[in-house]
Amino acid sequence: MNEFIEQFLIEARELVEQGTADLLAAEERPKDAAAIDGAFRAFHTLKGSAGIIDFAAMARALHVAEDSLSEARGGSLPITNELISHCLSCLDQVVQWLEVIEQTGEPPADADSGADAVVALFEPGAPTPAKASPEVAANLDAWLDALSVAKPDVRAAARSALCHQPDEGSFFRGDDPLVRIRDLSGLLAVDLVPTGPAVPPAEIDPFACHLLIFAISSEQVSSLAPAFADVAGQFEWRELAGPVVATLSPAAQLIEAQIALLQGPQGEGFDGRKAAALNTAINVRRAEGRDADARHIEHLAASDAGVEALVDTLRSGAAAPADNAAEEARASEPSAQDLAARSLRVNVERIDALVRLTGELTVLKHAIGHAAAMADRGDTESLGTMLKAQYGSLDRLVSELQHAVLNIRVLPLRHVFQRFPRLVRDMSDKLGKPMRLVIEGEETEADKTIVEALFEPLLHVLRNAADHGIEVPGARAEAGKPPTGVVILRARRDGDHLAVEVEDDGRGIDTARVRSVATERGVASAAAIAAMSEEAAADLIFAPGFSTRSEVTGYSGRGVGMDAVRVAVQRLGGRVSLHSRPEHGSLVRMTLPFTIMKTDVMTVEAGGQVLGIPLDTVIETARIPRAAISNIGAAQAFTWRNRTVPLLDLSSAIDASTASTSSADALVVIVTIAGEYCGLEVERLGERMDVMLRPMEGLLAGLPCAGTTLLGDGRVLLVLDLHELQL
Amino acid sequence: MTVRLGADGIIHIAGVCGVEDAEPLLRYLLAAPEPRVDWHQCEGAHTAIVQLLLKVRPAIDGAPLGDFLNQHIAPLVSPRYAGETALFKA
Repeated sequence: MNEFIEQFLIEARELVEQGTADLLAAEERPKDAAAIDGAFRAFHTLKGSAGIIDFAAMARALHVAEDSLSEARGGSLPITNELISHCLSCLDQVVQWLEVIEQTGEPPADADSGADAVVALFEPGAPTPAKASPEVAANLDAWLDALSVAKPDVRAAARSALCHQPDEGSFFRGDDPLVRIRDLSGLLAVDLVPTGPAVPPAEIDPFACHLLIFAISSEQVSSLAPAFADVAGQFEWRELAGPVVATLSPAAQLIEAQIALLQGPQGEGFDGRKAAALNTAINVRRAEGRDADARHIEHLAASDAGVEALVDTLRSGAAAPADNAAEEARASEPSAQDLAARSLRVNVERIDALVRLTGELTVLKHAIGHAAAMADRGDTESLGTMLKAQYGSLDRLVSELQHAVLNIRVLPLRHVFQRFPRLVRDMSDKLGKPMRLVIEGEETEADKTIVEALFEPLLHVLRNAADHGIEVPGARAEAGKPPTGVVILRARRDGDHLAVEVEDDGRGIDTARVRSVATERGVASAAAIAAMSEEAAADLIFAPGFSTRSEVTGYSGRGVGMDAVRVAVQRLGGRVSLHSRPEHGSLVRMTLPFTIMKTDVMTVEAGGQVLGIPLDTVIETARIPRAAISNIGAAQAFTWRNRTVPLLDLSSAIDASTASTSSADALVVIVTIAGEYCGLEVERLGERMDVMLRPMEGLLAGLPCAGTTLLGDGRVLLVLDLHELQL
Repeated sequence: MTVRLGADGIIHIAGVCGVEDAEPLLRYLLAAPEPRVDWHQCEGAHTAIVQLLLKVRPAIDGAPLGDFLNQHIAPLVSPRYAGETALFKA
C-alpha cells in the first residue's frame, strides 16, 4: 500500500470518528451550531480526501450527505433523527470501503451500488426499504415449492430467491423493474404474475405496475440485494442452501481429502499414506480447537483400527456442526482488527522529551568513556565514586526514559469511549428504550494496550446495562423515573490505577432471581448460594455459565455474559466489581493498572530457576516451620493469621525439577489470587525490581507467564501470571 | 416507432420499447378483435409492455431478439408455451 493511501486511511478514520461524534452531538442538541458545523466540515473534508485518491463513488455518497447537512446548517432542513441516521449510514458505508481499501490497497470496484444506496437515502421522499408484507413472503415460499417440483435442477443451483412487488407508481418514477432483474448476476429463472383486481382490458391502466416478480439466482443475497437498495416496493429475499460441496469449510475439505486417501487402493505404501492422512486429520481437528476429536483419532490410529472405523470417525467429526452460536457471536462482534488502532499519533512534546533525554544520555556516555579510559590508565583512585555517581545519573535517566516511552503509548480513553455513543443510540432504537449515554473523564489516560483492550468488556457491560438494567418506558414511569434511561460511562485515575465505571439508573440486580438462576444452572451448591450475602449473590452474574435472561436478545444474553468481562479485565491485570441498589440502578467498576508494560516484581528462586512474582499480588513473605504445615490429602496447608492457607510448592507448580526440601523452615510467599490467599513455597527470596515486560510471543505464547525480562547478569526472568498458573 | 400496427392487423414490436410505448400498444390491443403481436424484432421491452402482454394475452408470433426476453419472458407471455406459463398463480 502506498504512503498516500495509508495517510488517507488514517485521516479518513479520524474524520469518520469526528463526524460520528458531531452528528450525535447535533442530534442531542439541535440548537448547537458548532456540532452541526463540525459534522458538515468532517463530511466536507472526507469528500475532499476521497477526491484526492480518485474514489468517485465515495465522494458521491458523501456529497449528498454533505448537501443535506449544509441545508441543516442553514436552517432550511430540520435536524431530525432520520437525517442523523442517514448520515450515520453514509459513514458506515465509508467505513466498509475503508476496510476494503486497507486490505486491497485500492478503492473497491463495486462501490457504486453502495453509493447509490446512500444517495437514495437522501432523496426527498425516498422510500424507506419497506419490509415485505407477509403475503409477499408467503408467495415466495409457494413459488419456490412449485419451482422445486417443476424444475428441480434450476432450484438446486440457486443460492438466492427474490419476490419483488414494485410500487404501483414505479413506472412514473422512471423505474423499469425487469431491467433490474435482467441485470441480476447469476440469474437462473424469472416468473411474472399479474396482481391487482382483474379488470376488462379496456380499463387497464398501462402505467400502473401490478406485478409480482419472482427470480432466482446462483449468487448470494448479500451480493444482489444492494443493487435494489434504491428501488421502491416490497422485497422478500431468501437465502437458499447451495450445493453441499461449495459450503464445506477448508477444514472439512481437508478432512474429505484424507477420507478419500484412506479409501484409496490399499496397495504398496498404504501404511505410509494412512499415517500421513491421520496426522493431517489430527492437526486439522487441533487447529479447529477440537482436541477431544483429535485425541480420539490418535487413539484409533494407535489401536490399529480398520479403515472403515477411521473413515466413520473422520466423517462423524466432519458432520458435526460447528458451534453455531459461537460462530454467530463472533461474526457480530467487532473484529480484533477493528479494535487495534492501526497507528499512534503522538504529541510532539512527548517526542521532544525523548530527544532531550537522548542528549543527556549521550553526555553520560562520554562521561563513562572517560571513566573507562581512567580505569585503563590504572588511575583508580576516584574511579569507584565516579562510577557510582554516573550509575546514579544513568538510573535517573533510564527511569525518565522509561517514563517518556511509556507516555508515548499513553492514550486518552476518549479513543475507546467515543465509539460508544453511536452504539448506545443503536441499542436504544433497537430495544425501544430511550437512553442517554453520559461520558465522564474521557481525557483520562492509560496505556494503549489497556485502552484498546477495554472496548470489548465495556461493550458487554453497556449492553447488559441497556438490555437488563434500563427498564422499558412504561416500567420507568411506574417507578417514578424519567422516561429516558441514563447510562454513565466514567473514567478516572485512582492512584496507580485506572478506574472505569459503567453506571445505570435501571432496576438494579434482582438478587433473588440471580440466586435461583445460579442454583438452577449449578453455578454453586444451593446451600452456598442461599448463604451468600446480597453483594456476593449479585456477584454471581460474573460466574462462568451464568446468564440471567432466558431469551436471547440481539445485544446481550448470548451466553458469553459477564464472566467474559471479568476474564478480559483480569487478563489486563485488573478487577471487576459490582454494586447494585435494587430499583436505583447498578454500577460496574473495573480497576485496571495504568500500564501493563511496567510491572513491579519480586524475584524468587524455585527449582533452581529465578522467577518473578508481580508485587501487587504479594501480601507478605513468611518463614513457616515445617511442623506447622499439615497435609490434607495430597495437598498441604498452613495456618496464617487465623486462616488456613493452601501451600503450593512453586517448583512443582511450574514443573521444574524439585529441589530437596530438607530445610527446617519453609520459605513462603503469601499471595492473593482472585481474592483467595495462597502460599507459594520457594527456595530463596530475591529482590524487588521494576521491569519492562516483554509479552510472550510465538511458541511461548501459551505459557502461564505475564512476560519476560533480562536480569543484570544476563539471565532471563520469567514473570509469572499467577491467575494462569495451574494451581 | 417501436410499436406499430401493420397493414395485416398484426401489432409489430421492434427494437427497444420504452414505457411510453405501453399506451399505443394497449390501444392497438383493444382495437383488434383477436389481437396478434409479432415481436421477433424486439430487443428489449419495458416492464409496462410485458405487463400488458401478460394481462391481455394476445397471440404472440416469433421469438424476441433480446436474450433476456427470449429466455425468461417469452415463455411466460407466449401461448405457444402454454404448458409453461406461470408456475404459481397469485
